[in-house]
Formats: sequence, structure tokens, C-alpha cells
Amino acid sequence: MLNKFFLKILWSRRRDYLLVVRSGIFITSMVFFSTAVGSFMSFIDIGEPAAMTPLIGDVEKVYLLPYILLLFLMMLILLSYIRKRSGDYAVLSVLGIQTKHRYRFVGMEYLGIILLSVCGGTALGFLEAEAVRRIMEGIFKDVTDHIPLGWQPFKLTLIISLIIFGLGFIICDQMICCLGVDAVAAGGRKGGKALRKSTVLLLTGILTELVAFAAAVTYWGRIGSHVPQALAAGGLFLLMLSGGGYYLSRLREHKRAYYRKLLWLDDWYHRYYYHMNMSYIVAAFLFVIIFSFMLPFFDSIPVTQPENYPHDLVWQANEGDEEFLRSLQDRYGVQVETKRSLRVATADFGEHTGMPASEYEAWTGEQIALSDKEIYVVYQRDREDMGSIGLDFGNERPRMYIGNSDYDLWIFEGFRIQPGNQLVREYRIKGSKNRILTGNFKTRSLNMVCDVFEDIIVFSDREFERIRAGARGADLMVIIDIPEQYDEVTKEVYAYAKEHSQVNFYDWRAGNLIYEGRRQGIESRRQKLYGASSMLINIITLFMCVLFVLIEKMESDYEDIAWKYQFYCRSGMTQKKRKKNLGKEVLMAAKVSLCCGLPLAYFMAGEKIFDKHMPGEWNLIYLAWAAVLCCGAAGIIYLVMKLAARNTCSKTERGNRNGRKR
Amino acid sequence: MGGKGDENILDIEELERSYYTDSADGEQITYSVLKGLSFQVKAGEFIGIMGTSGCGKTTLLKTLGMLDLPTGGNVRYKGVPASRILGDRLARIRRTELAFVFQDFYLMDSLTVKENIMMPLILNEDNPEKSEQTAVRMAKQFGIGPLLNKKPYELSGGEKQRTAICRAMAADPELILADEPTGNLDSNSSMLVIKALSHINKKMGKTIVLVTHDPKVASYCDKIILLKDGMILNTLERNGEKKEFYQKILRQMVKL
Repeated sequence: MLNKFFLKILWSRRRDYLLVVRSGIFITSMVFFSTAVGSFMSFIDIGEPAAMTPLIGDVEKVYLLPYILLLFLMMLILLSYIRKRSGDYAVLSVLGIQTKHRYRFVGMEYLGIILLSVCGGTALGFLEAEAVRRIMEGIFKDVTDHIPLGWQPFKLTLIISLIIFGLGFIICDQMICCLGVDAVAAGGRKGGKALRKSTVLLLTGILTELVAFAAAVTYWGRIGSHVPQALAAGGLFLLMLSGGGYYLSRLREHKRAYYRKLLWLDDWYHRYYYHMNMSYIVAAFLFVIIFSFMLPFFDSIPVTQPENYPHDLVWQANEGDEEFLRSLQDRYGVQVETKRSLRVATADFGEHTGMPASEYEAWTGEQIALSDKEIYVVYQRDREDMGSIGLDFGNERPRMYIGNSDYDLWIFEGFRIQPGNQLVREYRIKGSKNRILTGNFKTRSLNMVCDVFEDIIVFSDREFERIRAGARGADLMVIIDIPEQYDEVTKEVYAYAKEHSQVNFYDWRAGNLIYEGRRQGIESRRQKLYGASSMLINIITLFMCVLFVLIEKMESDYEDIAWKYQFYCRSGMTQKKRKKNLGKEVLMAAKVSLCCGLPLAYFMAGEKIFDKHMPGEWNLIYLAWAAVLCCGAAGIIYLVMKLAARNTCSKTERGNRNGRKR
Repeated sequence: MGGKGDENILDIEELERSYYTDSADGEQITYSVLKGLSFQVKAGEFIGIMGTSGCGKTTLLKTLGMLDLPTGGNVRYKGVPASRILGDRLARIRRTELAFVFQDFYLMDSLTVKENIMMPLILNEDNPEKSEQTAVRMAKQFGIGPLLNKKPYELSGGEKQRTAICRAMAADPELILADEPTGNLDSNSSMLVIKALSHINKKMGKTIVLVTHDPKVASYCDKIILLKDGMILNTLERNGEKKEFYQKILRQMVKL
């Protein structure tokens, strides 16, 4: 009997319950979709289905903040649901519901939400992932004809969903326990604090944003986007909460403007936290899209970037190989350019080309005055790598070893270099620049979290002569351009190098130090296609989240809006005015998030663009692309919400005409 | 000695209740709603609490019903401090010994009138058939027998309130706390409701604490506590006829 009663009570709230379930399904589908796409990408990258640990690493690297935002969204939706159900909970409490019955009542409801969300979300995510899989199989048909899904996305989705729903339940449950259902339902009004107007919060928000701006172009911003992203998102939350409070408080003091806006702004005074938190989620999603996903996407287009590989072959040879080079010139008419060089290993698991200043000057025409213990670094970065940290994690005095890398170079454990290694901080970087001279050769690294590059380190002539004699590894850089018989030449070089040249310690295929421009170009194209596809999928996925949050909020607020519309009708407001007011109210959250999220994201992205030190025209291109993306996102959001507002107006109008019970 | 009328169901000693809010400037503001009230509620009494709006009537009733805790003083329910009655013990008392009737009825719109009345019994895990019989009997007794299968939104205000009274009476509680039960009703419906409450007190021997600002409703009570600014202004005992008591209340209300 009790179960029947509970079900009947729940049935009367089925619309709100289904809204929560729908949100749960969406959130789970997002989790499944992101993990499935991560798994596909991993397969394309390494050629086998992803194992759990690397998959978690990949997904976490990109989706940590979005998952936190989804958790926050789930909590807000649950709290909104609790607010609507508070009347039922209160009556049952007053009637003396037993603890076991309360758990049965609330627990079964919540279990239903979890089961429906996880099952429905996984199914929906699976369908979405299948669609994307087919598209990706088309894009990467040169790599594979079948991309398997595997079981890892299912397992990971289950784990992440249970964390999100579990944390959501625990936090909501604790809020009800600590504050009481009345306070939770009141949404911040209980203590008379409808608005958060705090100077301390506002200043903390500004300070956090400044730190985020600084972090974006210093160490933490150059090794990844997590730290500046988290700081900026935290600061944005504080700024929106306190700034909005200030705006609404000040508006109340200006009576004329206040009463003019009150018709569509009243609920923001009434349920400030709910509206502001929802707007924040949208703003934060927009921020993540623009700041974290847009730039890598721009870096990857166009996917073919031949300017990064100006030569056919770059081979780290030895001075004794000159005779072989002459024979190549004679037989195939290849153009050969040689530079005296040495190998330099750095503590960031990199191996670079060292050369004397005079050689560099003769090659580039650039004059560099260096003392014995000074070096000049030429970073051979493509657009994607620009703005990242320099030698030895950006240290001004990098740990270096003169000679090539080998097993004996480091004593390290758990990626921490231990005392006893041969890397020393002997040289100071006097200056550096970004310039591709031989090519952007990302070393095939030993499962490293970052790429390592073949950069050029310039020494003073005297120092170069002093250290060259004792340096092991290649000592002659050879640049070969092949006008004809490409395959024959490369085959011959590879065969010769196998017998006489240094092995690349970082190459898991144990190749010699030969960088083939064409092959690198093809690999780079594949990598850029991979990067652009995954970033585009991420952008679209998060943009779907933005639209979903806004529409979900509008649906959730429908009851209040319908009531208000009825009030407008009965107070004799014209239809035109009614629609205008309702439209403003529905669009308010979207406007707040666009006004807060987009400018912050654009400025931080702009800062990152300038920090890349790209040629001027690329700066302008990036800024223009970013502006187009921001305007496009704003336009789509505005259009969708406008249509949704119109639909809500029509729905309420119809409901009002039919005399539907509120 | 030891008769039913001598037992104190509620002992209220120096009861205080304050609310704390923050001003726009962030300073804490304290609102003292109840300021040191002391009185007793004996078994079988019909006590009315009167006062102007905002004088603390509802706060007092909530505190008596253990829906709210005092910030000072004591409320003892059958000799036990309310602060010690928690969790399942409190839930049991609410199910079996204490019932509320609210101005806004608080009926479940999804359930029928019969199911609403049965709710406290079902929550108490009573036999469903017996519960149904009790609900039918209660509904007939309070004149809503023909409405048993209707939903609350199909009822008039008076019918809703009588449904709420039936629900309150279903578990046969000792104490009924009614918060302006006639506040949303027209005069005819109000009379039906107050007569029903009077019947519950006189014929069924239940203790009732009723909050009202209507002197006509209050005249049905045995004792009136007049509140002003969170303090007891006066206590009126009914010694004679209802009409006489009504006039007495009216005279006192001028002082409020």
C-alpha cells in the first residue's frame, strides 16, 4: 500500500522526474561518448584498443573540468527537483514518516534515476559513438578499416557515472541533513542572503583571474591547460556570483530601471543561486571550448603543413661519411649541404643538434655573440608547439649532456632524475627563437606525456671546438634535397646509416638519425587530422552540453514561467508585451553566460595566441578565427534560445487558453 | 488528582525563538519572535492563540509541534524536553500522538481524499483494510463521505480543510495543533471546520491548540492566550457562555 502511495505521489511529479532522468541520460551519454571517442583516438594513435589506465589518462587530460561541470549540473538539477518535491517531503515528515520508509521513498526514486540514466545514457552514448566511429573510419581509412570500441568505455562510463551520481546524491543528502529541506528548497533565501554581494569574493575572483592570466603564459600554461583553466573557471564562478549580486543590488537602488526590469528579472532576486549557477555552468563550458579546444583545433588546420619540412632528408652523420655523400651527389645529382655539429642530450628526454656560432651565422646570416658558457637555442616548432616550454622544462640553465643519449645517461626512478647522472647545468641560455631550419621532427618518444623536439643549440666557436672532440654520437649534420630517384637515394642512405650511423635512443624502432621530410609530412598530416578531428568532436560535444543546460533550465523553469504568463494575461498585458517579457526571462541565463564566458575565454585565448610568438599574420588569422567561433557560438545559442522562448510562449499561451491547471 | 485534565501534555518555560539574517551590508540582524513565554497545555484542553500578524503565533505552534527548536527556554512534551525527542522517536510521536492542521491544507494532490486520510495510518504500517475503514468512518463523521474518491483539487476550501482534519484524526492522536485552519475559508466553511474541531475536543476528548485571529473561531476555545510582540499579553478563560466569551475576546483584542 505504501509503495502504491509513493508511486502515485511520484507519478504526479513525473514531468519533473523525467527531466532529472533526461539530464542523467544526457550526462551519462556525454561520459560514454567522450570515453568512446578517447578509445577510438587511442586505437588510431597506437593501433590497438586502449587499456584502462591510458584511457583514463587521455580522457582526464581533456575532460576533467567538463566532468566536474556535469557533476555540478547534476547537483543543481537534483536540488531543483528537491525544491519542487519539498512540499511532499515536508508533508510526509509532518505525518511522521519512518526513517526506513524515507529511505525507501527517496532511495528508490534515486535508484530509478541512476538506473535509467546509466542504462539510457550508455545506450544513447553508444549510438552517438557508433555514428562518430563510422565517420572516423572514413577519415582514417589509410590507417585502419575498422576501429573497435572495446569494453573499456563501458567500464569507465560506469565508474564515472557512479561517481557523478554518487557524489551528487551524497552532497544533496548532506545539504538536506545539514540545512534542512526548507533551506535547500529556499535556494539561499533562508538566511536572507538571496544575493551574494561580497567585496571579498569579488576581489578574490579578480585576483584569481589575474593569476589565471599569468599562469596561462608561464610554466603551468605552457605544459598544459589544466591549471590556468581551473583557475579561470574558479575565478569566473566567484566573479559571476559576486558581480551578479552587485549588479542586482545596485539595480534595486535605481528604482526606475529596477521596476522596468522587475517583470522578467524578479526570479533572479528570488532564486539567485540557482540561476547564477546554471549560467555559470554554461559560461564555463563556453570557456573550456574556446580556451582549451579551439586553439589546438586551429593549430591543426590546415592538416597539411609542408612548411614544417623544407628538406627531403636530414641525416645526423659523421665526418667520415663525406665520401659516401660525394658518391651520392655524383650518381644521383642530389644537393647536399653539411654542417659541423655535435649531439646534445637534455634532461627533458630530448636530443638536439649543437653547432658553432660561425656555422649558424653562415647558414642563416644571423649574428650571435656568445661567451663560452652561453648558448642560443633555435626551437624548431610548428604552430602547435609554439608557446610551450623550452629546453629542460623551460629552465634558464638547462641540464645538458654533450653527446648523444644512451642508457647510461640518467639514473632515474619514477621519472625523477637521481644524483649520479651525467647531466649538468653548465650553460646559460642567452637567447632563443622559433625557426624551422631542418624541420619539425617530433621524436618517437618512450611513451612520454609530451613530444620532444630536435632543436638547434648554438655554442660559441671556441666552446664548440673544446667540447666537440669528447662528444659521442653524430658530428655532421647533412641536409639532402633529392631532385629525382627519391626512393633509390633514401634506400641507399638508410642502408649506409644502418652500418655507420648513430641510433636514435628515443626511437622505439631503434632507427638511425634520419629525418625524412616526406614521411614526416605524412605522419604529421595524420597527427594533425587526428588532432583536428578530436578537437572538433570535443567542441561539438561541449557545445551540445551548453545547449542542453540552457534548454533543461528552461524546461525546469516552465512551471514558474507558465504561472507568470497567466499572471500577465490576467493583469491585462498585451500579447506582444507578454512575449517580450517572457522572451527576456528565458534568454537571461544565456545572455549572462555569453557575456561572462565568451569575453574571458577570448581574452585568455588571445593571450595564448600572442604567447605563441607566431608570425604576425598568423596572430591575426587565429584572432579572426576565434572571433568567428565566438560570434558563431553566441549566434547559435541566441537563435536556439530565441526559438525555445517562442515555443515556450506558444505552449503557455495554449495552456492558458485551454485553462490548464497550473 | 491524577485526572486527565491535570496532566500536562506540554510545558512551556521561558520559551524564546529568534531568527538571524544578514542585512544588505553583511551585518547580522536578530529578530526575536518569541520572548520568554511560559504556559502549560493540559490534556483535553482547547487552547486558542491569538494575536496580530507577525506576533509569533505560527512560530509558537511550530515550536510546540517540534517542527522548530527554541533558541532559549524549554518545551517539554509529556515531561521530556523537545530537544531530546529526535529521529524515529519524533517520527513515531508525529504518527501516533500529534497531528497538524494547516491553513494551506497540505494535502497530496496525487492522492484521493480517502488515500490522504489513510496516509498517517499507512505510514504507521497499520492494516490497509482497517485503515480504509477508519478513513471512511472519519469522512462520514466530518461530512465528506461522498467525496472520498475525489482528488483534493476538486474540493472546495472547507472540504479540503475537513479532509485535513480527518487526516489529522485518523491515527487518533492526543494533541492536535491547528494553524489558522479557517484562515483561507469563507464564514460558512469556517463554522463547519471549527465545529468539527470543537466536536473533536468535546466528544472525543482530544487536546487542541489552535492559532487564529478570528474572535468568532476563538470563542469556541476554553482558554485564549493573547500574544503581542512575542510576549503573552493576557490569558482569557472561558467561564460562561460562548457569546459572553466572544465579547470578552473582542474587548481584549482592542489592546492588541
